[in-house]
Amino acid sequence: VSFLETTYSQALGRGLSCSSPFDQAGATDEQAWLAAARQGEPWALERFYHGYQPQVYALCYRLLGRAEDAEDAVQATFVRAFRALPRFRGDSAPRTWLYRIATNEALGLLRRRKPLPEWTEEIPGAPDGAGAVVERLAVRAALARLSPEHRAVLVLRLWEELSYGEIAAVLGISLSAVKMRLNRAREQFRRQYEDGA
Amino acid sequence: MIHKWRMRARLQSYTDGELPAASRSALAEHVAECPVCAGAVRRLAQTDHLLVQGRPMPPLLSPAVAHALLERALAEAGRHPGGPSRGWPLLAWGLTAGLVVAATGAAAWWGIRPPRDHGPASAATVLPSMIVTARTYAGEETEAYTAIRNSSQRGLAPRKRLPEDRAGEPRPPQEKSATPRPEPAAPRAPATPPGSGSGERPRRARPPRYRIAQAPGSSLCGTRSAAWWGRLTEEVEVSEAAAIALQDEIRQSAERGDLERELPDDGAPADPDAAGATREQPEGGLRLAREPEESIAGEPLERSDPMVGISEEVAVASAPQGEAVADAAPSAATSQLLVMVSGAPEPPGVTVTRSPESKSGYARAIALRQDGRGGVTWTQATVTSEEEEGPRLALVMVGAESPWW
Repeated sequence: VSFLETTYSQALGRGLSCSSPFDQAGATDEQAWLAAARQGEPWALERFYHGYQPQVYALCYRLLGRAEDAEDAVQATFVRAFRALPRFRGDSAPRTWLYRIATNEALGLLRRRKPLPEWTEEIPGAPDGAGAVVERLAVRAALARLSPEHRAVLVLRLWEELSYGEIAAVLGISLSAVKMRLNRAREQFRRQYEDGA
Repeated sequence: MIHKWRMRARLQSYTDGELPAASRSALAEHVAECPVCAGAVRRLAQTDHLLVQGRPMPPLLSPAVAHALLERALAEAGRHPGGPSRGWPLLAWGLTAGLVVAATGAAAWWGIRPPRDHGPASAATVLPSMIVTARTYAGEETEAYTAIRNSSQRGLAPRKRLPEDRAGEPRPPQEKSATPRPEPAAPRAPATPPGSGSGERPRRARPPRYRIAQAPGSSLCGTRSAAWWGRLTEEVEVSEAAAIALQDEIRQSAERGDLERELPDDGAPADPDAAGATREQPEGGLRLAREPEESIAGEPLERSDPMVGISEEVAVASAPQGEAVADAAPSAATSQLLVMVSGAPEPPGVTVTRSPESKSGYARAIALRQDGRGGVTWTQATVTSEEEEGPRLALVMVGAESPWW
């Protein structure tokens, strides 16, 4: 259970008005509100947004490394999603579909933004002392020096924990291309990390 | 043996758990016998470990900001009832720009940092925010930092605060610091430099300790409700002599008349939303009106230097003038913060999130509160240290309204 899930569930458990993708009731009738969202029903669009926004935001943040950019990417993602929802056939899971849009948006931002900034925000998950924090920053700095494509495949695999198939669907490439890109990305990362160490 | 690209790809699939069971077991047998492949697998695992360790946890997007993003997305997608379908007319942009300029000027006049414009102002954005450094007291080896953030504040991205006086290390430059940094109140024992030492250091069993942090304008351990404080110390059972001494100190302060206001007999917190209230001090409030002690129960108290290096981020209150400032302004001026770290259960009314990581000296607490206007705001504290072991529990109390957390 992630920290966010814990937080949201605690908020819900205390009766706070906090929309959450982890709302059990929301999960069971997803198909119903998804269908209504395709029809453009405002309440369903809102539900759709609240259901997936935390995950999309987390993905964008991890790809972009800056909260402000992640928020911009989230907004752009949902603009595109709201427009495209009537055409969404459900061939893939909504999350995968949204991830694909979000990744494209984030990659577009990354390509336009050079050089990539290093993480400037607090590390909310700092679990131990400063040594670990420094190491974590070194990892992120190495990751930031990768190409957007290599960075994306590593983020999707190791931070978002997607399978090869899901990564292929999100990036719109074949399975073998995922393996090849992942392999090269790992090598590149390792090189960058060791160079920076 | 063929150790080429195809083999590397297979090894990668193997470490990623993407091989079918039959292939996996066959490859496992091979890896057990082949040092080259074993080395490759080990290297892959090390790389993945590094990356996983660097996984950032995004800051929680506040409900107010999330809602603003939704509104904008709906409007831009043409799905908002009554909203513009594609962009705003020029006049609307001009008006918005004028409002932003006016709001920025007003914010500067109030001596606060203006938040970024993130959509329609929400009542939740009037709550105070702060980032506070914290240290342990009586800790010869421990340094800690605490980041407090009220998520409903825009423009207050929390920044990583490393312990500042690490041995031999120069402090990083504070680019935006507007005021000179105050000198530390007391010398501190040097902390262990990160990454030093090759082996595992023996860890001493240590009793639970307080960690105390102060916001500017606050007094040590001043709380809104002494009764709440009493419950806290009793229920949390951080049963050091210091806890008792601290309670005694509060009691003695009350007897000496140092407290500005006595708490109500029952100690029950007042309704924060009751009667609007332009409160100068929270009703039933309790505040130490003198300087904190230098020691508690004979143990030297290592005070946190108020706002060292982060003067530009102090006590931001971005309320538009005339709009619901009453709840925020007094808190921003007199906010008080207490972070306690303990392994005991939290008291009623405090929402505590245990750390998902069971690593040494780490605790995070998050407090959520309904703001009475349909929104939820939260405050988070993260406490880390290098020395103390085990998952910990941080209780956070921020601001004059903290008894409702």
